[in-house]
Amino acid sequence: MVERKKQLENVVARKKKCLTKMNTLNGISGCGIGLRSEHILDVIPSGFTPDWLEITPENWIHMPYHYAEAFEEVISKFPIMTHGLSLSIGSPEALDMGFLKELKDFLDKYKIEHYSEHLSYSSFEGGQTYELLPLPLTRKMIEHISDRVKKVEDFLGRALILENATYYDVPYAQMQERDFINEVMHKSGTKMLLDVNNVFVNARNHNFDAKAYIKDLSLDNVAYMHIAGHKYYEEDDIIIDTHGADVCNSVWELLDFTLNLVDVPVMIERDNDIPSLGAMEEEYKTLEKIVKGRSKEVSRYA
Amino acid sequence: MLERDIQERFVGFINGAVDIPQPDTNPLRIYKELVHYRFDEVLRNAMPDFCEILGEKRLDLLIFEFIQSKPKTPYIWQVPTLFMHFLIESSKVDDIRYAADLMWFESVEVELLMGQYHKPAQNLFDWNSSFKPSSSMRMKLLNYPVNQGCFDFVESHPLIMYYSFQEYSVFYQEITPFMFRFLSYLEYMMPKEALMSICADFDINEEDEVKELLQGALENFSQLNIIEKSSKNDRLN
Repeated sequence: MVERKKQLENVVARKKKCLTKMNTLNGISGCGIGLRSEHILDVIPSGFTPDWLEITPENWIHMPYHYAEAFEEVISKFPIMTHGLSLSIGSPEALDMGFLKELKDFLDKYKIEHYSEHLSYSSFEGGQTYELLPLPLTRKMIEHISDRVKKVEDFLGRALILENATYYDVPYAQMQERDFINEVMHKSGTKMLLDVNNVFVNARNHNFDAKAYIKDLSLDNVAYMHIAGHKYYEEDDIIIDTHGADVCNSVWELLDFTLNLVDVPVMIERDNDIPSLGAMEEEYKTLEKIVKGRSKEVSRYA
Repeated sequence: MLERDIQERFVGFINGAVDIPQPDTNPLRIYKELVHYRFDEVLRNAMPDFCEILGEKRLDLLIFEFIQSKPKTPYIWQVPTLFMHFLIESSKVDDIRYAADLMWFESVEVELLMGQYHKPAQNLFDWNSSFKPSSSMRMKLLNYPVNQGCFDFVESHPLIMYYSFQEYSVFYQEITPFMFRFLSYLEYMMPKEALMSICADFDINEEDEVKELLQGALENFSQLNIIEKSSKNDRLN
């Protein structure tokens, strides 16, 4: 009986922890998908109702005229997370304040609270590459990024969440990537977007144990998670994080493993070879089964 | 700063400014290819004919030169227009006589599709109100009728491109040099002043006849929001 009571207390404590996490991402809980322009006119008519949507602000700050009405309707009906591409938090030059102003105006206009980006850089001396480039993993870079995170957060009036990126090369390292990430989160106070697929891709390409890597992250800092598809290139024996395929079983399995350690919202990213919304919904159902099946298990004990 | 040097060196490799040592086995090549792919994809989508004419090898070289010029927009959809300006300003495609016209014709479509417009007011054209070319249109005096797939030189080939609020798409319309001049005047003149100016330019005395001649087209342009009602203060000085 004492054992049973303790078990219940644990469940309640875990639930409370979940609620606290959920509160840190106001409105964002459960499962989400990335909203792509290919689907904007179909979302409402389809009746598909994911728990939340993630959008890339750079793709919606300007949008075709005939998308605007549907976009506003979608934005008003779903909790929204924004996930940017062009901030380039690790660039050596000054932040692009013109872009930040446009971003802030966009977030304010649509009353969007949450904004995430990548722990990487995409521009150098202002020139954009539109690709996420690997940072030198140094202490100075941690300080540099922490300073810039504060500037971005002050300007936007919102917390910045940073995602672990894929990397195919390490240009310079004074430390391991996971230590770098943990230290950035600690020093800047920012939360982490844990991309489980990126961990899988990096682990495969650089020969490390993905599960051990995830265990070593400061998981209390994780605000939400991404999963996505990738592609294997035989000629280079490398996996590229394409976001252009269905999520594979190994990544689902890694997500399941991770959810045992950290209970946060999860979403599916798809940026290339975009399938129909119906196909996205099917994949979303798989995600739901994994994430919400777990919650049912908890409530069964409760 | 060590970090800055590392980043500069890295970017130098992937933008093609510096050769990658042992490229077959060097992971930097992956980044070089990924970055190139981003540009290649957006340019081929926006300017398919021009890219086809350039050919793969030349396009690849120009893309890397363009990346080295540090295109500054955070919005990838703006890349085709920046690429066009880069090629023209640095005389990269001077050997293709119709390049500027073709690039303009192809890239303006994206620009007009992504334009930020308010719902157009349906104003009937009248000569006493102030009308000007709208933000949902572009016009250019081409020297090559590229919209017809023809690359032979002509004295002037005025073209309008506009976003259709009915079809949600971009269309083009050939116009006469006379109409082109009239619309150009509308940027900073009232319609009646523009009428007087073109009549003077073309040495025409019968203003009323010209007015009648233009009336139908201008009503149509107004309906399509190619021209829009404006306040007098809205005009270019």
